[in-house]
Amino acid sequence: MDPLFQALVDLGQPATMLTLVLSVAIGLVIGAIPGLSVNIAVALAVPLTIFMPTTQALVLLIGLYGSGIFGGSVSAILLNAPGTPASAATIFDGFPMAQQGLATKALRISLIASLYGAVFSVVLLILVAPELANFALGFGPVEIASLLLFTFFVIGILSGASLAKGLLSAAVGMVLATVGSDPMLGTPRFTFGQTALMDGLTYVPLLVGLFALAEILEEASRGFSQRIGKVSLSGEDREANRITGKDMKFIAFPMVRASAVGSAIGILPGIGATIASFLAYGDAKRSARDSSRFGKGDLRGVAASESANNAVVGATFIPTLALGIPGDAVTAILLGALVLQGVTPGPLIFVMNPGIVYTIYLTLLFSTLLMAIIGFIAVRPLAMTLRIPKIYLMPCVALVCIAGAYVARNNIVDVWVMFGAGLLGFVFNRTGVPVAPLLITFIITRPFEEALRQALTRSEGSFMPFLTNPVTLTLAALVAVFFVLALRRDLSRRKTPASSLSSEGTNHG
Amino acid sequence: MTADRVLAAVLLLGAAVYLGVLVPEVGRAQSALGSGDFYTVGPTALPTFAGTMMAIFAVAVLLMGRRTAPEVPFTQGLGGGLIFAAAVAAAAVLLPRIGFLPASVLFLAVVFALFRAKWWVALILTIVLPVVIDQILRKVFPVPLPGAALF
Repeated sequence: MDPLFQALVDLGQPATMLTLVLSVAIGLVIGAIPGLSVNIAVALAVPLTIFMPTTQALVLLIGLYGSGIFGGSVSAILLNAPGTPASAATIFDGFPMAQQGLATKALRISLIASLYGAVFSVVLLILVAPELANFALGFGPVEIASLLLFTFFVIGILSGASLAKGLLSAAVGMVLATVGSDPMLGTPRFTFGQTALMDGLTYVPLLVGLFALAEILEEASRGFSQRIGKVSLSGEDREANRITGKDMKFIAFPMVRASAVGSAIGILPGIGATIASFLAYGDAKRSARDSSRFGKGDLRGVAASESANNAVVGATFIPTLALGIPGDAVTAILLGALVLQGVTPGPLIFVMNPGIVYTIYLTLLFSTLLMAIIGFIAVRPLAMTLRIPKIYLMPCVALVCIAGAYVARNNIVDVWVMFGAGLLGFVFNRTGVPVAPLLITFIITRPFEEALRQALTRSEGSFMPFLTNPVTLTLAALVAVFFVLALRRDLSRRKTPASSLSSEGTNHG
Repeated sequence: MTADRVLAAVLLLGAAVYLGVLVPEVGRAQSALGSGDFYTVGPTALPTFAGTMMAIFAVAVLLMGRRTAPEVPFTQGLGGGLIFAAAVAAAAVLLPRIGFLPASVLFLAVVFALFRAKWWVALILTIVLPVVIDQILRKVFPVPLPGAALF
């Protein structure tokens, strides 16, 4: 059967459709609640995907990812607190609009912009990913090892506010990935006689700890707020909140530019939606003829920020699918989930599993459309979710973390791995060390080691194949450029708070 | 000394132990097994590279930490985080011993009591949520959580 048709048939299964609807609805709610980010939603869903067919697993994770980013704008606009860091730039104009009685209009503009950005990036994904994969099909062990080492450095350099801290996080991820049997000879490494560690540190408890438990510990350190967000849309002037053709014309150009910025950022590993939305917001402000309204409730500000952060979603799948390199923390989680399903992302996926690729394309499109429908109808009920106090929410999520870590392998060791990862994530967050490089490097280390050792075994230990390879040399030059730019940034900073500049690299979005 | 530099110092120490004690141990284990007559890159190559990277970047954070000090003091509200972490650790200890349902009921009851939640909401969640999670995992995904010795 044609892979596209097969993907459509699989998506049309009642259980899969129900999963899609539920995941989009849950993603919207989780994204809307400050403190529960998209990363947490996707991390908590991964243990369940182990027991699902591949299509249903992908639908669950992608549905949560796409809708969660938009959900973040709800609290950004209504509460002046972004549900996910990716929506932080939406506050600048979204909250002033809400204060002027235009919250519904801001939410709908945010929805339209999110829809546009997401579709833009999915189209780009469909056009670019197969071409990139086709190019990468010619890669041997030397090129693959070089590309993965390039990812290690780029993620470390570009994630977070500090070059050294990003790279330290990536190095810790690499060290953690060396636990378990050596991939070539099967020699046990750092297992301390524990059979449970022969397969290495398990990915599911690690990511649940790093992303979910660490955030809950952070909330616990703030005493779990019992405050109920005061949100009411009932007194708004419906006429003033209607979106007109003039409004659409007003936001069209900033949306296109922001989607392009978001997609470009999404393709680069490790930067993510937060930086994209801030860059697009700055770009929209600079390129506007009259920028005096920005920061006071300008539609273009909301549109630019939301288009950009949603454009990252599809674009991050380009390196993930074509090269097997995750674009951000969430695609790293998705990549790990695909591996758990027995599918290895990379250029061969387009040849070996075209049905999976089509499923991802279609799920991204369907979940975006569904997000638009649910988001449009349920803006007011969605606003109500902001009233849930964290004191009830967070301990319940912690219990789900414990159960999720355990069910991955029915092993109590995994609960302890989750606990340790949670403490590590908490310490990293508190010290301004980004978490995303650790997870991404943890995932790419095994294929990196395999490729590196294959290449070196073939050359009998000589590094000459690396030093004479054009792909390696080009990537090395790019790393050098990124490194110098980031070092200049760090050295020019006298004492800038790391947390104020933190990006996707932190435990948030 | 700021918290990020303390972390870097701890990781530097960890890298030293990793490179100085653990990696050579793997090398010795591999030597005992042998690798035949053909050339192969040993299992210590990547750990050596990873440990060296960790040491180098830990030193870099130690040197540059002052410029990128975190905004929130490390110790701010740490007590709440530690109490919650202790509750999670206790739940992990109890899970295989008394089963998921009793362990999770105790976990929620202790956390809600310590963080002063409204008693009636806490009571409902403490009783209902563990049962819901247990039943979903048992019925929808046939995954049994550790058996309940007390129920």
